[in-house]
Amino acid sequence: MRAGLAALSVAALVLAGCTSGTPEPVTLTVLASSELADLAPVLADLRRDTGVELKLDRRGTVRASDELAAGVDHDLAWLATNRYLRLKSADLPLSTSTMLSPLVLGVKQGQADALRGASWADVAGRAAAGELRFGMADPRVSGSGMAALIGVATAAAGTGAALRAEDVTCDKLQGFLTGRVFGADGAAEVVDEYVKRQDEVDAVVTYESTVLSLNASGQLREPLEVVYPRDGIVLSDYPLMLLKPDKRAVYDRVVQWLRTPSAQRSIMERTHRRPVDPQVERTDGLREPIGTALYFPGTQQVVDTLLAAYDRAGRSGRVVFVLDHSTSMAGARIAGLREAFATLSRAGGFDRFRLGETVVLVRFAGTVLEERSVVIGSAADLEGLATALTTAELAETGTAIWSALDHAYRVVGEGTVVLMTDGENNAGMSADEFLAAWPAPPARTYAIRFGEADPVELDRVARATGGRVVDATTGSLLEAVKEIRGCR
Amino acid sequence: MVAKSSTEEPALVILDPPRSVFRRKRFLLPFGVSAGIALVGAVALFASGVIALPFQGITIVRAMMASKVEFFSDNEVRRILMANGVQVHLTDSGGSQEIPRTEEAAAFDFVMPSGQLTARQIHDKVGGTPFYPFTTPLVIAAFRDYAEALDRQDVADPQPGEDKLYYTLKMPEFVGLTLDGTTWKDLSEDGLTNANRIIAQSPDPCRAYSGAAYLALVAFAANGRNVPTAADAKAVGARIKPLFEVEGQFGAGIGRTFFGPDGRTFAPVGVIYEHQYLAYQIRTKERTGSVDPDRVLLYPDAHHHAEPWLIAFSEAGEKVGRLLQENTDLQRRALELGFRLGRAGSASVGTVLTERGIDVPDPGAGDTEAFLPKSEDLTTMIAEVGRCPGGVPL
Repeated sequence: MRAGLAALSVAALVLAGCTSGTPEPVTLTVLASSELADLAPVLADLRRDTGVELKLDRRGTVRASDELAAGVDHDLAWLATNRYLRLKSADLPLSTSTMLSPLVLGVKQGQADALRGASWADVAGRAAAGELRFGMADPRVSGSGMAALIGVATAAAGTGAALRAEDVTCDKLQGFLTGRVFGADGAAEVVDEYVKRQDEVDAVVTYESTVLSLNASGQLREPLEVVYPRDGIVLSDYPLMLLKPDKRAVYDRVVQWLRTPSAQRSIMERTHRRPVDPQVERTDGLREPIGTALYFPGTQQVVDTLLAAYDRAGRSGRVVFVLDHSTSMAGARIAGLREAFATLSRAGGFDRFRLGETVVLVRFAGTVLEERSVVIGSAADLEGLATALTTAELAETGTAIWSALDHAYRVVGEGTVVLMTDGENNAGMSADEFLAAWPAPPARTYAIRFGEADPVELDRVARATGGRVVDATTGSLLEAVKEIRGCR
Repeated sequence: MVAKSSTEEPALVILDPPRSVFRRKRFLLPFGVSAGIALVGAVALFASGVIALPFQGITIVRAMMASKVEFFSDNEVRRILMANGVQVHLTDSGGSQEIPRTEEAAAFDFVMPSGQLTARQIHDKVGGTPFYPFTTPLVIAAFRDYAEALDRQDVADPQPGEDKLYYTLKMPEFVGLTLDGTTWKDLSEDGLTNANRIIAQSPDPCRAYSGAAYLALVAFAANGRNVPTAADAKAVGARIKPLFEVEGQFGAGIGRTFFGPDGRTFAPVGVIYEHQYLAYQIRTKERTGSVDPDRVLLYPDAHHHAEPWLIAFSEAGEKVGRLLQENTDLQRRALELGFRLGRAGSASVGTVLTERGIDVPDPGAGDTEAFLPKSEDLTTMIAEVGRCPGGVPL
């Protein structure tokens, strides 16, 4: 027996010689995305198995990327994505993807039926009308907030390509942002805030992993359903980046451990992030196909433009529609106009009239026939606007385009003017008189022309204000209106 | 409070001495079983030559490369190298084009850029001994419904085979679809809902060899099947620039992610190397008994065989080069990982596929570099397509 034990001890020693033994304990500092607080138990295992302690210094991904580009003193960075860093910096540090999570909407089950399989346009439309109220992290700081802005703006531009600066000249984000009730500094903080204010709102915009973790936390009175915006997924892949080349050996040890099937499984089970290792069998909630990714913008300029639009959110907004109701509009034209208003009020997607917006309707023929102002405060106001033109009569008194516009300028305030006409001016002020009366036009003016309207005169006035003419002669009026919605 | 005093005398009980902890049954059985297993394991390791390694002296070889990290990370490759006294420590350059930019490339024992254009540049710049262990065509991986949509438009033709895994892609027509602004949704009334414009998602031509080589293939197609020259490289670059702007910020290579459960989200259609796809299908067939019918390959009709050179800068690096070029175990494993042997041998990946009952693709005939412009002309085009913050490679 003793001899047997001795033989076994020798074997054990030889085997022990095959491994390098317990490695030196070492501590690395890591600039990390705020939601990675949930990795604590995984990091404890990492420390136990490899001797490496990672000290996470957490903040929003966008802010962290700004700091990285400027230079930091951390050993590693571990962010939701390195895409924001790549927009800013030529040199990308050594990077290894560690886990995956798409940006989603966590929606209360009562609301989720209406949004299952939704596109970003559906989300924006419901948000504009006050039917979807949500929390979303601040895109100036947080990757999840910025990913949402990019998702909405890319889908709204509808080019099928990555967003370019010229695609965001008109702001299509405001409808979506109308639904944003509260913000927070990061994906983790927005979830905490959601827990506090869950009775006030319907949804939270964040990563799939945080929604699933929230459901599992027992803190919710009504569970959230994950809604994947099918036309524009932004997928985070959590690259671990080596900032100090002299920490290479330890970095390798950490990466190697993180990519083992057992660590990948542990990450999945504890944080609900998807494993990067395809061999690791996924849990039920993480098998859902996540849909088409959007192409990510190639320049920082696009991101800056989106942030400017974000900063405008919540400003009331005012638009004056100057609508030709002379008899030449009879038939398909007036029908098209009524349909456009019905659509923009009920289902306009990114272009839907939104809560807080003031819509002024100025109907004219030979003179101004009616001025009606609607401050949208509820769904009932939207419905009122949808039918506002259905019984409006046409008048056979001529077409006083410039007098009507003159009237609009007197009521426009800080807003924009959209003029729709199909005829030539034959009453009231002339274009020259109008331009003389308004040497410095108070509002940007867009003109939508159809039929016989004089494109040269309209263009002259619109351009003088920084606006332009959109031709609806060939296409639909609705498309023409959508083209200039959000342009200020 | 007064303490209660006891009147009883303390009793002293004599116990039998305990049995040694090693002799207890509760210990002996589990220990005996696990020790037995360990012993069997040790014997097995001895037999395979692994356990003797600490006594043989292992050479640690430091290497830098991009996508060929996959080859050296393979367990079987590591085992064969280890049995030959070599352990490779890898540095992932994050793209082959980064290797020549690295000041201390020659401080590694060897580097392995993914293709010959970059390899030649490194060799010209810093010397070293080149080895040519394998080649692999640059191809486009796609999910089947996307390939079928292209087939219906007569932009791709299926190659013969039972599982219809391979298509030949008509590059000029494919490039035309992108330049026309067609979306995947436009292609098929009945299926694809993807409203993105048609492209093969490609890694950054500034950073990745596959990105640069794909740009060359696109340029050839867009230039009426002529290789751009110094005279027209700039103009051709300007013509294909919109195509590369569709994707905005380039993604990382999809050689790994395409094959995961979220592959469609990473890229439904994208540039990879043939070996990455073949290795996946060989693995899938071994594991499940059948190939994955949902992922297919499109072979560009004007194709490029990438030849990753192993450029050695030390005796240890040369040893790895020679092993890769001459060791039959490593060559067999390279074939199983989907590589073609090129100059290094006549054994074919076709045989490996046939043995496993997997369709054999036809990558098209031709010279390995038939469609590539001169390196300086490619540089001109990459600069024109632009956005190389770290400078234009090559």
